[in-house]
This record gives sequence, C-alpha cells and structure tokens, in this order.
Amino acid sequence: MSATQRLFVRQSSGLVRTISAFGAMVFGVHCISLSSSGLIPFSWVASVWPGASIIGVLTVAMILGLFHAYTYASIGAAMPRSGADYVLASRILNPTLAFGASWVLALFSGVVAGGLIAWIPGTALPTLLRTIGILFNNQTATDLATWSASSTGILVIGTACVLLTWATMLLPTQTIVRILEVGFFLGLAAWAVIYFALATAPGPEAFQSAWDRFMGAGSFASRIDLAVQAGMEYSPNVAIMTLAGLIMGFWIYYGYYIPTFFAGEVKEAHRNLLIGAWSALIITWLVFSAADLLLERLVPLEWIAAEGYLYNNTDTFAMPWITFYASILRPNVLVVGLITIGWIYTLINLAQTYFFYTSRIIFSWAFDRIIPSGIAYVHPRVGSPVVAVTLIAILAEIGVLDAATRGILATQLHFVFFAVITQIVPVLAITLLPFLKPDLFEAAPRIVRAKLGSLPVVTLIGAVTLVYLGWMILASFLFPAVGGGIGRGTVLTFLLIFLIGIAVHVASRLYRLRREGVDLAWTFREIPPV
Amino acid sequence: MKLFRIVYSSDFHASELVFRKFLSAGLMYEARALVVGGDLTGKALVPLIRVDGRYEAVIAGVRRAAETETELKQLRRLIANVGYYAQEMTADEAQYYAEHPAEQAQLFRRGIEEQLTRWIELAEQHLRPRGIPLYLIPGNDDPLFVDEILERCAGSVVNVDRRRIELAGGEYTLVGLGVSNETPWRCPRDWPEEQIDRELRGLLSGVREPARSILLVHVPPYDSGLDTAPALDQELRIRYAGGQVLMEPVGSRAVRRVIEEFQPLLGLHGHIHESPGFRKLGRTLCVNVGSEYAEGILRAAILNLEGGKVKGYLPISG
Repeated sequence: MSATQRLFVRQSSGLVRTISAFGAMVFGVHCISLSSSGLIPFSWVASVWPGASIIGVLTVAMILGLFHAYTYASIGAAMPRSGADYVLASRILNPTLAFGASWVLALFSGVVAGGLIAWIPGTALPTLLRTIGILFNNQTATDLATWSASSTGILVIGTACVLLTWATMLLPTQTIVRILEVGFFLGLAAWAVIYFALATAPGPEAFQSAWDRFMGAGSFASRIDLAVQAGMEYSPNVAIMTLAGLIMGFWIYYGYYIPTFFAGEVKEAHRNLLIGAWSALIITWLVFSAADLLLERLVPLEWIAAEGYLYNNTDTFAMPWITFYASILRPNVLVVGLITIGWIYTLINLAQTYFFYTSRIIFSWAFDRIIPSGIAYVHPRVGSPVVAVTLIAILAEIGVLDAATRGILATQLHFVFFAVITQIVPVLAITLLPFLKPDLFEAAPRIVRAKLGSLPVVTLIGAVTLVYLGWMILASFLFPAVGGGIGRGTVLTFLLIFLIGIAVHVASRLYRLRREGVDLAWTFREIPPV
Repeated sequence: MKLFRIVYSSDFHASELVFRKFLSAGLMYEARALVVGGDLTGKALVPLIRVDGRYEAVIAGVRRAAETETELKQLRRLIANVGYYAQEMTADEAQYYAEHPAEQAQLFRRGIEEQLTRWIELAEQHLRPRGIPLYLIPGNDDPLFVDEILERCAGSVVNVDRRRIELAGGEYTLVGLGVSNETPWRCPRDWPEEQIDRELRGLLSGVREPARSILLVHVPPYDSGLDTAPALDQELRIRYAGGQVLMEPVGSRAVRRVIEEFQPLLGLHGHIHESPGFRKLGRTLCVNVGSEYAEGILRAAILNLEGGKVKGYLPISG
C-alpha cells in the first residue's frame, strides 16, 4: 500500500507541543547536573566504597536508571500533562494519597533547590577558589574560599543565587530553555577542557609531579598511607562495586526523568520522554566514565579513593575534585576559568530545573482546583508563572538557611529518601494501570500498552522499579554514610508534611463543595461513554 | 436563585468515544444544559482495504487487519474513537481516491453526514428523556455543509451559530458564533476580524442584560493565555529560534475587544487544543477546555451559575 493510500487528510488546522527530545534531554542532563554529579564519582563514591570500580558503579547505577526512566516515561506518556505523576496516581489510585505524595515531593524539591544552591558557596565555589589560590598562589582566593564555605558566606552567596535563579525563572519559557541549552554546551565545554588536561598529560609521573608541585613535596606518595591510617580499607571486588551501584543511582543520576513533570509541554511525549531520559542518563554516564578512564590512566583507583577518604573522613587538607586534578595538569587561567564558568553556570541550571518542574507540579494542583488558581497565574507578557516561581524561591531560601545553619532538614542528604518514598505512589499507579483501568491502558500509547507475552511491560518494569525504590529506602537506613542517617526526626518530618498535604486536599474539597457546588472528586471520576 | 449547571466541551473532531463520554458527563453531573464549542468533524479518513477477503488499515503507523465481521466492527470503532472516518474500498479504489481530490471530498462528506446525524440521534435518545438541551456551534474546521445537518436539528439539540438562545427561563442568554479569525490553513469558517467584530456586536446588542450573557465563540480572545500556539511561517512550518519553537497568541482581537466591552458572564471557547485554561478578562470568566480527542480523552468543564454569577467551575477529563 502506498503512503497516500494509508490515510486521506483534509485541509484543517494543526497541533504541536514545544519541548523536543533534545529539550527533554537537556532538562534531564541539567537536573542530573554535569557539575555537582560530576564531582560525586571521584570524591564520594570512591571514598565510601574504596576499591569499587568507578566505571562499574556508574554503569550499574545507570542501568537501574534505565528501568526507572522507562517507568516515568510511561507515566508521562499515559498522562501527557503537567504533574503527570500526580495526575496519573490521582486518577488510578486515590486523589488524596496522590496529592499527599505530590505535595511532599514539590515542597521538598523547592527546599532542596535551595540546598543545591547552597552547595555553590558551600562546596563548588570554595573548590574552584582554592584551586585558583593553590595554582596561582593567591591568598585572596583562598580566603574567599574559606569565607564562601562559612555560614555567612553560604547565606549571602546562596541568597544571591536564589534571587538570580528566581529572576531568570521569570523570563519567558523559551528564554529559560535557551539558557539551559547554553548551559548544556558550556558544561560539555568544561568537561572537554578537563579531558584535554587529563589526556595530554604524558603519564602518571606528570600527575604526581604536578600534585607535589602544588600540594607539597611528597604529598602524592603519602595519600594512601594517610587514608589507610585513618581507617580506609581498600577492597577491590565486584560485589562491593555492584552494591555501590545499586545504592548510588539516584545520588549520581537523579533528575533524568523530570520532563515527566511537564509532559504536557513535550512534543510526542510517548516517544520523547523516553528518548530524553535515556539519552540524559547515557550522556552523563559517558561524560563521567570517560573522565574516569582518563584519570585512572594517570592515577591508581586506590589513590583516588584515598584522597576522597581523607576529605570526607579526616581533617587532612584534601582536594578530591576532578576539576582540581585537571587544573594542576594545566595550571593556566584559561583552563581554570573555563571550568569555573561551566561549573557555576550549570549549578544555576540545576536549580533552575528544580524551579521549573516544581512549578509544573503546582500547576497540576491548580488545574484540579485544589489550590487557588491564582498560584498558577501566568504573566501575560512573559508567560512565566510568577506566583508559583516566587513560592518556590521562598522554599529555596529556606533550603539555603537550613544549609547555612546546618539545620534539621539536611535537605540534600535526605532528599533521595523523600523523593523515593513519594515516587512509590505514581510508580504503583502505572504498575497497576493495566488491571485497574484496562480501558485507559488499551487506549494509551504503545510504550504504555506494550506486552511481553501476556504481561504488560509497564507492570513488569514498574515492579522492578518498585523493588528498586524499596531498596533505596532500605539503603537510606542501612548506609547512613550515603543517606545522611535517616532518624526519627526525618521520618516524622516526612509524615508531618504528608499529613499537611492530606489536610490541604480535604479542606479544599470541602470548600469547593460548600461554596461553589463542585466536588473535586469529579475531576478524578472515570466517565464511561453512553 | 437556582443553580444552573452547564457541562461544556469542544473540539471533538469526530472522536466517537469523546462525544459519547461528553453525553455521559452531562448525565453524570446532572447538567441543566450541555454546550459544545465547535470543530465537530474529523480531519482524516482511513481506507479499509479489502485484500483476499479481509480488511487492512494503517492507524497511527500501525497496520491492523480484520478477518471477521466482529473484527471489522472493532476496527471501525477504533478508527472512529480516534476521530477518523473509515471507508471500505479496494486497493485500486484507494489509489483512485488518492488521485481525485473531488471524489475524496465526497467520501469525507458522506462520513461527516453519517456521523453527525448519528450523534444528533444519540443525543436525542439520551438527553430528551431528561429534558437536557445540547447547544452547539460549528468550528472553523467544520465544512460549510455541516450547517445543513445542524439546521435539521429539532428537539434537544440546538444550533446556536449566529443566534441568541434564552437559558434557565430567560435568566441567561447564550450567544453563539462558530468561527475563527483567519488561520494559515484557510479553513471553511475563517473570518476577517472586522466581520467577527460586526457579527458579535450585532448579536450582543440585542441582549437585554449582557452581564448575564454567555458568549459561545469557537476562537478564544487574543492574548488571553487560552490562545497560545506555535508560530508558523508562510509554508506552514513551525518557526524556531535558538532551537526552540516560537509560541504566540493566535486568538481573535475582535473577540477580546467585544468581551472587554460587553463583559459577558462567560466566554466559552475551543480552537486551540494545546492552550486550555480558565482566565478572567475583567468580570468575564473565559474558558478553553482544550482537546485530546485523538487520545479518546474528554476534556470538559463543569460551570455552576447562580444569581447571575459563576458560582463555581471545575475542569474534568476522562
């Protein structure tokens, strides 16, 4: 049959959405973060599991992410609109439960955006300033690094960054997307500079000599001994590598799936959400893995683990940063400058993605009229949700304050725990979709209704994802070095925020029913055809 | 003061499933009136090709076959649910229609007439016993011959295009206009802004109390947030800048002007599927429910009116 015979189309109007597969990938890459997650494998993973192959951990974590990404892409494909996870769970499971989970995720996402912003003055900026201080013997840069990491520095610089992020999020969406795209290429450029520095070093001796030049004679050779004396147990085996990979997935790659939260703006959501999420995962895996290959050409894994161990577990001055390793090999202003610009810019991008997706979740609540529609007000000129973005900025400032005062929320460390718990609700919804709403399942795009034999793929992969999420919760308790030590306070905080969400939903429903004569439950009711 | 509940939807584009859900929603939510904002007809026709005693069709890129009568019925239903028309034919006939646009247009006409007639009968069957009227207008995508079909409506289904209808015993006035401003596609009911302005003013000037009127116009008001669509170039290609799709308001300036001037109670619109929402223009609550007809999803709004005011509203989908 020829193409013209397949379908006759008459002249009529058309329909498109705006975010492409590339755009979805850019959002995913920024939410993973080329900068903050780029440091984790070499400074943290290596030190928590000394001996675990970094590429192995990155690979195991990435493969698990592919399953989770498929599940979330299916959620967005099944409900291609703002807050797809909440919308799906509210229609498939229970609206109050779905709102409670979504409420926790959105509130904590806002606060954690502040936690991530606080990471700029707390870690990223001091790292880069110390690099400048050491490389160019610049005491001012070193002093600035110390001040930046102080409570005052975090508060001042963090607040300025919150304001900057807030201001950029008031720009039209197209401009925001363009800012993110620029960041994507800047981030890649920073990595290209790192690769160049690592790849052009003649060999291990060059690294050793560069290290000793800036960190003191004999420093390189002493690091492993110092770390072992401090308690590091180097154990290179596959089991530990796999275990680390099973735990670190979200810590390294969290964010690849966020376009699901604004699935209503993604073109051909049934296709592009999966392409975007998988490409974000694979690209970041490639970027970090390539850096590790190049680094391990110059330095043994045991040394990388030791440097990370010293930084995380002792008072020894240590610089376990891939950016520093590259900078000492090419100690010139251009190299350090390009890395610094790429790093800071993409860290702001990271916060922007949190602002963006959280505002879309808030939209979905407003569309269901659970919260006043004024919160989802979109400015007619710039087309940005000014009220929602301002509310998120307030939450982000709370995150900065918490980080500056080493407060009780410890959002960055507890965020994975909170995010994973809330994800159980929508993941359960998509897993059970074929059985609870067979008509929706049959009408859904191919990615959702695909079957393996007689078993729906979303159920199969959803079940794997649920097991993964369950394991992540368990791991948060079993491995306090990673999860930040989930105590009673963290669990109670979660329960309190969740219960407030439930109360908001119930109160809103009662209000609409009494004052406006509409029952919010109608929004979620299935409408069978006559 | 009695509550008057409207269930409003738009842009079914021939989706059988969505229309049936819409009727069901009216009954479920005990509407006093159902209102449809145009674009009733479909955009595509799927040839069901007879090959060796069975039928083959390609729907959304997937080849499907029907060997029995039951399977053929199921295939027809699937095609109707996504808003396509189906026509049985041989491969040679399909080739002939592909090469003869006038004959192809006749196929569309037959499909549209059959479906709209059936929809009107279906509405009568379900709504008349409950005394619920269904008010509708065409949209810019609906061919002009649709008027002849809608004019034949009698009983519960009422064509409001270029008319005023009293609702709730005269408490509210529904004013209808099933057109759009000019689009790049040169659709059958694309009007110049001046003509829309003139027509709406003419209709509204006869309304006793504009503040209690409901304006049912297919195209949303310009730059209202209910009319944001991708910008197109002269070749109807989407315009990009910096790799991003350029979005722009494409609604009617005349509709906006008239709403701002007359301040009706409600503005009910459709047309731009990807720009649903509720927006206030002065005291007028403007609604575009959007459309997901191809997915078989009904997008509608429940609107509660009481004492000449909008007491409450809720978007629904299912």
